[in-house]
Amino acid sequence: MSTLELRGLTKRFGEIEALNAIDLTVDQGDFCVLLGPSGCGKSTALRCIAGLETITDGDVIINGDRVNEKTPKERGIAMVFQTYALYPHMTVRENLAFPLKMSKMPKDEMEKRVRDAASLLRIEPMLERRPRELSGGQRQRVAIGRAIVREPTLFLFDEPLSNLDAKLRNDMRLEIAALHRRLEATVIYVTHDQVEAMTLGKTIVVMNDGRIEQVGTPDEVYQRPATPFVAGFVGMPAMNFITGEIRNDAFEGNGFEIPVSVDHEGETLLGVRPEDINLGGDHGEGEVEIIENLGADRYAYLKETDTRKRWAVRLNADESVDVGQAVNLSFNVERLHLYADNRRLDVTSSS
Amino acid sequence: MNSERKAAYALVAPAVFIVAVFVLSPIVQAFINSLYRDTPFSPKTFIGLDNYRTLFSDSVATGTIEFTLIFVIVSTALEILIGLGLALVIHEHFKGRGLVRAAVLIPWAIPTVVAGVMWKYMLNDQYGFVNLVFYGSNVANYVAWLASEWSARMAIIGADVWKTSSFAALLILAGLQSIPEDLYEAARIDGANAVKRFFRITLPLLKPAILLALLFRMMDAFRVFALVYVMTQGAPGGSTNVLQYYGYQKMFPEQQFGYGSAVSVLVFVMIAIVATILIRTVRTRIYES
Ligand SMILES: Nc1ncnc2c1ncn2[C@@H]1O[C@H](COP(=O)(O)OP(=O)(O)OP(=O)(O)O)[C@@H](O)[C@H]1O
Ligand SMILES: [Mg+2]
Repeated sequence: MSTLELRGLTKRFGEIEALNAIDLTVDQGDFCVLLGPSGCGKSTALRCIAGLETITDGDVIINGDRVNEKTPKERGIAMVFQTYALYPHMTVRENLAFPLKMSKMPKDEMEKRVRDAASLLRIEPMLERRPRELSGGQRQRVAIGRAIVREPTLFLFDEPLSNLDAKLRNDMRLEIAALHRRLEATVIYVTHDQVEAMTLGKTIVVMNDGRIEQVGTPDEVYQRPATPFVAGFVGMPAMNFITGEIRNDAFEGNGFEIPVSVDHEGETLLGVRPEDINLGGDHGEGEVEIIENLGADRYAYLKETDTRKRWAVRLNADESVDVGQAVNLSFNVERLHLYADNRRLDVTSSS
Repeated sequence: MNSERKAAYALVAPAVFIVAVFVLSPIVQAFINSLYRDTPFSPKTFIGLDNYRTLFSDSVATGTIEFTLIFVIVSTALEILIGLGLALVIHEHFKGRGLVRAAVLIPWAIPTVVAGVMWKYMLNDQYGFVNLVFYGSNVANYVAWLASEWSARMAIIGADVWKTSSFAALLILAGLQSIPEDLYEAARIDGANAVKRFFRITLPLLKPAILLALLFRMMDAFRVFALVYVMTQGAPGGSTNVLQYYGYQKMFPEQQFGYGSAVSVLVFVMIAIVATILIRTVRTRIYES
């Protein structure tokens, strides 16, 4: 059963169209990540779902009820803010109890829930402290605690980890994943960090410019990006692109020809990931500008001498190059991505 | 004494010197004067605390103390309440907010003497605007507002509230603007309606700003002078007299320098007590947040 459904959700701020007819269905228990560049409308979408923003057009449906006109409270959602938004004048205990107090819960039930949330998030020793006496990670936990005490149908997270340092972000990410498994809750999680999206998401919704580009599992989004935008946005370093043409079952561009079998003729964009490029061959050439050693992986960045086109290439363990060296490239032709008219072309077979 | 300390003392020395010469020494001098009978017609004689005894037993003096306290309490209470209301209004986003903000600040920008004269005219028993509003052309019913005890007291307090509520509003507005918007959003999600958001989020977080406004307004209210001087000169029958004006009367028109000094010292002590209490609270509040 779907917990959340968006139908043609549109939001305009005056002239600015922040969301353009979004359609989305999120199933019970899903961990749905909204991923996209800054300003693409992720937060706006979340705020429309939460009821913090009135919507211009379309419907928000939670558990089968159209909730467009309902207050945030009536929607049965909980939200964790990027800034945590803890009440500074209340202790941790009071912060956790606040939503329960507002719903006039009996005292012993309230205390039990606060205790349970505190032990789940390991913040029991801090219950009497105020938010300013906590570290960033602890504040984050309290913010999550305040969301879970209400046992909502839907959790909304808006970039909850972006104010933490890299190490803490990693730890909290694992914790959020564990929490999700444990609570079997439905989560909508906004981020512009693709590592977070890939590791946390069961479903990833890639957004751009107020529209949805693709909905899929992390694998689908990475292996079969639906649009050139998704192909370029997901993956670090980004995918390499070549513009060319398909004619007579072959892609022509950049001075080479690769046979492809697709239902399309004419202008085409070819994408190839850095890990699908090998040294040697005749699909490209260039001079090594920079080598990035990330420990587990090494990447070489190349520049073609005449076209000044740049390439990102992942080096295999046995490959070694030097800065300034000229190298030739070949593609793993099984794993090419082809796009025409902003759509992915299905490769039926290739040789 | 290490060099950092020496430098620190050197830096505060000029300020300490100025405070000592221009603030501390007049206070000490006033206190010493207050222990003498010092009038132009008799030799200056030491009389101990006699001036203070008179101050607390003479019925004119006690009436003055009474109205001073009434004025301080009622006017600051009203100013904080109205200031809070004004601040909440001009904090909201609406068309013409800039105009409203400016309008709210106008009374504060008017010099007190001018405001006093203006209110005196408005309350005039023959051509006052207030009478026109209440009784129209029915001139026979016109009231001499400043001639009876309670309406004169209300007039003084009203004029002060009219003039300085916007100052309280300004301080409280600064406090309002420092409350992050997402706290209100979190509270909405947590199920708090507008009333609960006000009492559980806004008001507690405004406490430092309100205490600060209270401090400034109370200290100022103890020193009220110009409004009384212009509007009533303490009339009728001393019912609107305040300590600062009373002290001035004794000191200058009546040339009772010793007794006048005792009045000044009393005002100083009252302000000092209130200020110490409030500053303590403000400081702990500010450190807390
Ligand atoms: N209150 C507002 N008034 C006017 N425009 C707004 C408002 N809120 C958002 N926008 C605009 O809507 C668009 C989407 O904003 P949104 O905050 O949803 O982006 P985002 O995807 O969350 O970006 P980020 O990753 O930077 O948080 C932006 O162009 C933004 O300028
Ligand atoms: Mg955002």
